[in-house]
Amino acid sequence: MSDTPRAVAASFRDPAGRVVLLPGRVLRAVRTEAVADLDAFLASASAKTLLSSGALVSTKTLDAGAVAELQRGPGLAEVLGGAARVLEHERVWFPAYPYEWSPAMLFEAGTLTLSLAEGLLRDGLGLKDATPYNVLFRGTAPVFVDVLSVERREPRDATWMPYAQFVRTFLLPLVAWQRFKLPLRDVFLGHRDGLEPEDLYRMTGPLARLAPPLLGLVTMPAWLGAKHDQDDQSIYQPKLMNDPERARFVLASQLGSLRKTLKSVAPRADKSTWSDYMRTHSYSDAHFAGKERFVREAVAESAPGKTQTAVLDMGCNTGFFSFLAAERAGTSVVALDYDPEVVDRVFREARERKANVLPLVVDLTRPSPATGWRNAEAPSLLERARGQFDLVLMLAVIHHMLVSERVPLEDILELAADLTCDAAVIEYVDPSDGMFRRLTRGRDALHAGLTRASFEQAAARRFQIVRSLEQGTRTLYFLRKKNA
Amino acid sequence: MALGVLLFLLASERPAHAYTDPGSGMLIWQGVVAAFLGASFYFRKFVYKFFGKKPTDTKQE
Repeated sequence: MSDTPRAVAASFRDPAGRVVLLPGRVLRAVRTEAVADLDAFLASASAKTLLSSGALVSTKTLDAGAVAELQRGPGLAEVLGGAARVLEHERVWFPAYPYEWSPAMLFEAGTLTLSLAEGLLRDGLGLKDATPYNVLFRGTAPVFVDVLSVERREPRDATWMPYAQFVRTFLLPLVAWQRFKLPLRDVFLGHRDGLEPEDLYRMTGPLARLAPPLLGLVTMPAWLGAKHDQDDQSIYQPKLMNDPERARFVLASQLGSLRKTLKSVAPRADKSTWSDYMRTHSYSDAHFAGKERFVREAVAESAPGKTQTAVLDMGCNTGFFSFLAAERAGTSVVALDYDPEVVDRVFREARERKANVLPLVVDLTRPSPATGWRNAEAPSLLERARGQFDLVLMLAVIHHMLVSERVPLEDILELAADLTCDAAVIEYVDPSDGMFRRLTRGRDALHAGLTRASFEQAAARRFQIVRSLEQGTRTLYFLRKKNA
Repeated sequence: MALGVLLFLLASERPAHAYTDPGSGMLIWQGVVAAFLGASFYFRKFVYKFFGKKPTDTKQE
């Protein structure tokens, strides 16, 4: 994250306010028109419940003195000058976006969004939008971060305006995952606002279209949308009912039915794929125990004296070492793997164990780019990661980068040095290793020059080698960044 | 039978791929569902009035 303050481009869509990021701080400038809705929300029972459980981002109003001081900062006078209210939010570490979530994470974010909508309805309020971009994850816990998404509701209005957005950004991507194993990155990197019913309509067969949930989510909307005269704007006029109680009943029933549908498309653990993963790890029990001890000691020794540390597990697979790292008190772990099924499993396990692990679906050789308007709505994964981690783990992963993606060894070590502030544990996998050979498929000549010696030489350019552990064709290195 | 024909028509319908207003279909469908729910609200009241049965509120799971 850059040191200069910047108004987050993602926040330009809502005229009610702007988000401003300062190093380590998140501010929100609120316009006069939005203050009444904001106050109604913050005073509501739903806001209080969610704040106390941590499911709503903590928010405090800055006093005039604090705002005046901030305005003296470079570039801030303009953004904060016209604000009726300046809020400061808790900074949720580590911001991750729907294209990096596993399906179970989208499900949890959807559940939180619906619970909020239901609570707000009881408080006489409503959600203006229902998108996963309003949610970040603190470890495995979803946190609703957009306090300006709430408005006072017209009591006789029975239309939930974000309905279509909820379907597009939560339900249809989950349907596409459930039926076609379409990863969320394929949905959200290409389409900010999720999938249209027409997209799913084209992907599904005639019989599936007639059965729930596709009939109501895909077929009827696609059919009605095609029949609808595009110049007819009358459907967008608010339709008010005479009886507010009836309007509330209709909304509550619709939210209840969305919740049922969400449950029906909830991602389920696929046991067979998982057991494949458990089988394919290529260590003897003794070697695995050695590896576990080596990593445990490295975790304990990295960032000495620091009470709050962060670990990046690149290629987390079963998450075994992510959980091990999270056992050090005060340690937050971000665990990356390219397979959504695997990340889903790690997410579930982290929730069960209440481990401070945030698992994300990321292909290390194609990390998420900066996205959105002017590439400035969400920073790239590497930009978010730089400077955040005390220890980087690259266990049983470099051969995948070297062989399948043909990334040069120097570049892999450069990335590790770039991402860690202090230490790294990197596992060297020799070209004679069974898994390495399986990946090379006979193209052995490509990696003829790769040896332990050449690895150590390359590592020594950026790191001090603290110690190593050779076990068969694999060697673990505990490295400390030079000038760390 | 009529339902079967309708379902067949729906299943074989191909949505137009020209510029369409995204979301209009979902808004209309939401309106249709809301109309049914609105009617069921009166039906529930009617049941309550004549049979003295208290309508259960929408289930909040």
